[in-house]
Amino acid sequence: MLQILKNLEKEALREISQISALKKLENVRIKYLGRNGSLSKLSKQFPQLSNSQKKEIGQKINYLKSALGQVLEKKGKELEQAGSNLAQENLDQPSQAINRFGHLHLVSQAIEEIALIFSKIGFERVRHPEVDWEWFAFETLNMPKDHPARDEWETLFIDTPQDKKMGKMVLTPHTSNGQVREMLSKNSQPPIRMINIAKCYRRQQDITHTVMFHQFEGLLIDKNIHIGHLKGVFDYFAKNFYGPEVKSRIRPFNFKFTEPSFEVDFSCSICQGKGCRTCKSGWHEVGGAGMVHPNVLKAGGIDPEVYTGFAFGWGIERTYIMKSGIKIPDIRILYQNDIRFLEQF
Amino acid sequence: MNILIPYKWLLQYLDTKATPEQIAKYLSLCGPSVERISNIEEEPVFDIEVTSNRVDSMSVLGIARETAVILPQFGIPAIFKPYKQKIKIDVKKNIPLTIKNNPKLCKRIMAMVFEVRLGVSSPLIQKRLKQLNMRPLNNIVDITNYVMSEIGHPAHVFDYDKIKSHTLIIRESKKGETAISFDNKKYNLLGGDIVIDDGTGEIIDLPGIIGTKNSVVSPQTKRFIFFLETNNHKKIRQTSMMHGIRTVAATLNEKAVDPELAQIAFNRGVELFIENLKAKPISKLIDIYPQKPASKRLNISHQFLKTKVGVDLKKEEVLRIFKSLGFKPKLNHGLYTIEVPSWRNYDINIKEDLVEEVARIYGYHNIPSVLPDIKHSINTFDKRFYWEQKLKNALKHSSFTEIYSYSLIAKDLIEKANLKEKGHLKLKNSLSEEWEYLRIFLLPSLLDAYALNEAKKNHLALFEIANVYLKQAKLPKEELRLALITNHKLLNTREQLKLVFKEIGQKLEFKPIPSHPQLSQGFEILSKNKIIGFLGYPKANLVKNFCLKRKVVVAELGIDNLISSAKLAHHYQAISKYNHIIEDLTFTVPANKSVNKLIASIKETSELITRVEFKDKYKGRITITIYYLNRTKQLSNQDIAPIRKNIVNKLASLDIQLVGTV
Repeated sequence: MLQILKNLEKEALREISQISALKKLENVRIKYLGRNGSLSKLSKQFPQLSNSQKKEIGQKINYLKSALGQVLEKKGKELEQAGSNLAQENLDQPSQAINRFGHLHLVSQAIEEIALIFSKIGFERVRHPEVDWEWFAFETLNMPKDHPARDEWETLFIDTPQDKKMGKMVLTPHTSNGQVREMLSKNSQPPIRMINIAKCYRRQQDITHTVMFHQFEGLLIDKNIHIGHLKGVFDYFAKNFYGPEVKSRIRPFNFKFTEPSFEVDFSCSICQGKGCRTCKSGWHEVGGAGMVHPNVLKAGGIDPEVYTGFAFGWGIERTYIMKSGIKIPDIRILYQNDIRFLEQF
Repeated sequence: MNILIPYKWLLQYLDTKATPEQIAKYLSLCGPSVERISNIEEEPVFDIEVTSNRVDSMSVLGIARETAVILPQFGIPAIFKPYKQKIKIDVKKNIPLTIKNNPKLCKRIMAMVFEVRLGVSSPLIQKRLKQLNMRPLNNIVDITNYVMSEIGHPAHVFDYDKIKSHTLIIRESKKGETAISFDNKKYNLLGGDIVIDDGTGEIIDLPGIIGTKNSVVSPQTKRFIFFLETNNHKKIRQTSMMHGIRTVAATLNEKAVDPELAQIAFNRGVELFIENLKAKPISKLIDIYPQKPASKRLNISHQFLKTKVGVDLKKEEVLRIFKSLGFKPKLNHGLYTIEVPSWRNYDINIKEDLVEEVARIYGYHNIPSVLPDIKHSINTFDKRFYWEQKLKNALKHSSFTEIYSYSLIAKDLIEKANLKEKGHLKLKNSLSEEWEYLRIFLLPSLLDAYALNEAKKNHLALFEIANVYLKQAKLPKEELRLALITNHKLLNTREQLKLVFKEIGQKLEFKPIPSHPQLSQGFEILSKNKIIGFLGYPKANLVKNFCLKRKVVVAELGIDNLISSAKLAHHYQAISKYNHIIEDLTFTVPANKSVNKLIASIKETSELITRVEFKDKYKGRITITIYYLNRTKQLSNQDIAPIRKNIVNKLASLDIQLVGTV
């Protein structure tokens, strides 16, 4: 019996040392130490032994159980350790997997960002028609029939019959056609807070102009709206769109649909308004604005003695390109749809 | 309009120690915008943009007046020095000159005849004209240009002896009449233009616009008529634009120059002729001024001013500003009454104009910025743009790249796309053939964009979301479409589209169709049982016309309704306590059988079948995975067996055989 146990010990130790995988370890344990394992089977022969043999064999079996258990545990730890060391891949190489995102157009990104900034201060986003009557594009904006912007050198006219009241059909040259439309859609009931973002069309195509472009038009009408409010909104936009150090300023200008009218500048984010090669004067011109002309309010059914408002209309492309770092020298590239351009954004 | 103003010339009418840089800076903040200071003839010259409503500022005098109001606001003393006539005119002779006016055409006419020797202008006048980018011509004409730039009223000279009748009649032109300008251009008049007739029917001037050859001053001139007229500005614009004659005089006259200014300009001109040319006046002054414009009065309350400007203005400050502008203010119980000076007659009309005057002189930079209180309303807001953005992002994450193409297309593109020109709205005055028609499909533009990029990328997937313009009774219907083009596989694209629209809670169905105007093969896309678009392979002639080299898949669908009914409310279904039984069955399927119909048919076999999925295809055999579930008890193989048998029998009757045994 003792000899059997000695052989068993030798065999078990040999087999354990040859285990190469963790999952095999359990099988070996069961084989020797399990309920029907080798040691267990030998233990069943115990009753047949003499008393002096029982003592010696008993001690040996207990010793084996404990020793083999320990060796198995040690082996187990060894294999775990080795397992984590074995799984060493070469990480310094490219991945084979292809994760492909497409791209949203620069103009979509600009629109999303601008709309978000204005929505946070309560400007509701809308989209008014691109094809409109002269009535909304000019007449209700206090622009008489002989105003230069209305002539055929500037505005694109559709080849359709004229309407008696509404005039000719045009492609709107500015998102301002949305002003009176918005007032009427709200039943001429202020407060009116809109940001109209839509396509506009003008009869010019060169380095800084495309026939089709986008504008965003803000309109705020309420009681006691004054010039300080307009400045406040521009300062807010400047900081949130261009950067916290950027300031806005307004200077006198002239539009038929606003009085007073302004030209709006933002300070150069590179030189903070001091003047540099990029901006020259320290300021970038972003577009026009003004207090809504009383005739425009009247056209929208709103009493200018009770309500006032301001409006501004700027180019999406131009406003976005002014962000430092985006150096696009020719605006026409935006609509040429070369994938090598689109992929950069 | 841009004007050039030499600094030294300005100082003739402005008493100040301000530097050119200071003037440029402060003028731009409160008045016309000084865009640049150039060095011309070794002196600083301002390049100023004056808005078209301020013709009073389009001269040295006008800028001096503005600057005198603005500089003191910044603590820089400045005093305006108005023109004062220095010389006295003593006319002994009075040679004949008859002028007949039409008051509808000219508001004022001033004229006088001079005797002179033609020569060269003084160095000062030549220098100043060069600083204005004008070419010195001769000492007579130069003074008319000088006076126009200095005072702001255009002036003209005629050769007296060329007008044999010594008569000038102001009338409207008749259609078909012609005039030859002094620079030899012939103009066929359309009628209604302001012209000067010498009494014989011959046109001897287009006043306010350009002089004619038959009356122009030349080296032979011995006597000239110095002539100023204040024209009907609307007619000037009409004639000038119609014939494209954009002289400086025309650009001033179309903006309603002040007839009072005619007198100042005239006196100044006379002074210069006498001083510089030693010209001798030989006729009495003719001044036809039928109606001096009535002086305009406006009222504005102090409260109105404060409310509009957003500053607690002091009454003394407002009075001072009005006064400095020449508005002669009176204040009575909080109400200002101002008298609009003649030179501001055109642009000051309503009390909001006065708000502008006060606010800009006070200084826009002095008005504090404040965000307006935004009162929100308890209304549903338009979520349209939110869903559009979600859709775009879903497309982007499905590897599509967004393009923006022009809404206006060429006839060429319409034809390439096999569409009809007459279905499209057309422009009357397009800039070029390239942008002449408003598109009714996005697809042609996408085919173009694809062809442009095809060679540049192996994998190409483009989309656009934009309006198309559908003719209808009044304004066209602007319908929002999604169009895409890709070299992905057709069925993959279909699955991508389903996923993309799932993002906005919309379920799309795809019905295979045998024929379609744009497709050689493909699907109709349906939403809620209505056809909204198509997906498939473009027709062969489209592939040819757009020179596509590889196989592409195209789609276009209207998304207005999908966007407006988008939502994300999914229904929750409790997770089952019991497990699915999942098994694969393989069938031999004849090539012409619709696998989708097969799948639908299997699903219908029992309520306990929750899912049927296509797993694999190999040589005419299709493997389907079937999911069985009973929510009330755990299914076993015995429960499934009869269902399986049903499926196999059902399909066998359709000639689809199970591979293996039941």
